[in-house]
Amino acid sequence: MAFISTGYDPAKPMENRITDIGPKDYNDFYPPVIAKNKGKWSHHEILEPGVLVHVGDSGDELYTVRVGGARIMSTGHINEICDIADKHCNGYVRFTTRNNIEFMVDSKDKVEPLKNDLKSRKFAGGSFKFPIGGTGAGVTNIVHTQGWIHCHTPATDASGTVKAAMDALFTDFQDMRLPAQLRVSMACCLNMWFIALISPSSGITENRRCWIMNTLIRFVKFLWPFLPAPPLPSNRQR
Amino acid sequence: MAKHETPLLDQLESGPWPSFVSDLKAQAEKRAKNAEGVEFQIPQDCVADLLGVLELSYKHGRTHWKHGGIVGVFGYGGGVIGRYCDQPKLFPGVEHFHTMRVNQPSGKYYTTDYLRSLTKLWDLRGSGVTNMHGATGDIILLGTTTPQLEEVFWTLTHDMNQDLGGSGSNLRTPADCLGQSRCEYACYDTNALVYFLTNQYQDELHRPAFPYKFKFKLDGCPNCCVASIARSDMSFIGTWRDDIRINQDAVNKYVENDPKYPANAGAFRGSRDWGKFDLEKEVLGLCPTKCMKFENKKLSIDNANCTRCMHCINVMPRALKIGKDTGLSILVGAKAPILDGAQMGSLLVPFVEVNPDNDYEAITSVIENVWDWWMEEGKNRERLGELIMRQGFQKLLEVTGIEAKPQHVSYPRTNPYIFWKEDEVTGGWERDVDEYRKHHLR
Repeated sequence: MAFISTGYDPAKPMENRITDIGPKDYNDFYPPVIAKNKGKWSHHEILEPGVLVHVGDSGDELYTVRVGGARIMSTGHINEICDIADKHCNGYVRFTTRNNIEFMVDSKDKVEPLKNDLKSRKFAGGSFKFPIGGTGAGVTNIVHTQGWIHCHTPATDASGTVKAAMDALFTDFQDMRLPAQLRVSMACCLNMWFIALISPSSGITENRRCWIMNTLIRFVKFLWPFLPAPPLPSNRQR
Repeated sequence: MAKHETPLLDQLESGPWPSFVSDLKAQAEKRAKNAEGVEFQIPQDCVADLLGVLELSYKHGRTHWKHGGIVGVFGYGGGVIGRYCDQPKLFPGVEHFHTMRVNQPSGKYYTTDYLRSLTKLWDLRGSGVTNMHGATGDIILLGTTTPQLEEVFWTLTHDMNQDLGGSGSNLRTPADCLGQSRCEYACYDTNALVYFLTNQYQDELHRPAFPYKFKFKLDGCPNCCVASIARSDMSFIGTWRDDIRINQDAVNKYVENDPKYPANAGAFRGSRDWGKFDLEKEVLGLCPTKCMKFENKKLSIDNANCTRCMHCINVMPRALKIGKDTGLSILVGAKAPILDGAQMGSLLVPFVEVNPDNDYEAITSVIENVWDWWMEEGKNRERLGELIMRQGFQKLLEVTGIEAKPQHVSYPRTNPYIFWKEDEVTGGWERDVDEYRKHHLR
């Protein structure tokens, strides 16, 4: 494996150096229907778990199929996402804050072929590569930290814990039977926000909130053996 | 045949959820075969060794990574996190295994061309393992060696017009929800503002000059989909100050259970039957300030008492729309549990205009006043939220030149942090006791 140089010269680090250019311009990455209808969307609807339609004031429709993803992703897997996006979505794709992937198409007849393609793809071990779900009154993907895969101060693993937990919660990732949306997060040490942010749409009734809390408590109990000790409560003044 | 036996990890290949172990195994195999003839610039078996070291961690119940001292690209203090394996003889492929953070685009939209050029680069010069994405929003490239850092940076900046993200005690890469690009609730263009702020504060992002990390997160509306209120030192949440727009015909369609007007935009279309939509119970009854009425087929809202909780809009998105006089609220001080326990953001600016024409002046002035104070007064590794606890919210109002408002009080009569100062009181603190005693006997 011979070293391939890009042209960077360690003796002259400032030569032809480019810095502080920031991220890519998001306008280059908008699918055409997004660029056209930005700021002019009328309403949206969740047609079934994992499938949304957004309708513009212009009458344009954008169908989105949301799939779960492991936060750790190989380049091979990303290339496969690109293959799907090239085949069905004219080469556009987006990721969500909660590590889901969204494939967007501009007409209803493109939804079924896309869904069928996504459902058909599995890893060698048997798990789904692109499970459809994560919308509405269900459990969406668990966001998490690095854990033993790459961190120097983890009290526990994260990716493995999340994989095991999402296997257990899988039905509710693909269903919308809960009283509100439920979000779960996993941190492998106290550096990150500790465990879970429940985020139902605001204005939910108290008894519904209790129901969510019970679900969460059951879930925390299930996870308890994997978790680090919780922080001691403290309100000392410094 | 895998390089290392991984019986514990193998269990994580079962079950329906996407298995990162299966993905990594496939990646290890792909690198071993190298059908594309890539001239790997870091060890070819690094992914096999990554699985090996992870298996060892599962056996030992602890990590085998060490923090990496100072590595990075010339002139930047962030964007690269040094990482070394503490078992280099067992796992030579991951002896040096640094992380690079790449600044993601607003809203995390991509073209496949861009993603493919990134995967091509990372196959050549790194492990081919990534996180899509990290908690600050960056694309995380996991695992490369020190000599490759400058080379990766060169390709990113020269060929892909792409910069690194933040790490360490600096401004972390700002992140946003998708905003107006695909959401009818968004009160401002989050994608544009996050792009502006990221470019405006490149120096703060790349060269650590802060007491500790600092995060911006932007939410287009109070639904707070990226949870900025919990996850960022400075949270920008869209809001409006005029009236919720009501389409009475559409309200009645919801009341009549018209199938084209599903309540909650269909968010409850699951296996459970919640019965017919009931406006009284599901909207009016759940309004936190009870500011809505439905009489004679007409919905009315007492907007002065509305707290913009979004509930009614979420339930009837075709009938109710956010107001037209939109802007954002700024909240400060959210942070993780370390030190004084987890904190949510506190409201600092109830409403500010979002005006790209003057380079978001009203927003940047708040940011810069907060930074000046925190950089001057913050102790090493003290987050903004902890400084606010230590010196008081009143001090924050003072340094930002913001007048105390009723919206700053979370619970009346329980957090009286507004104190008079001497120059605000007639005659100051000095009192003539003799003069006082003339009118008030002992």
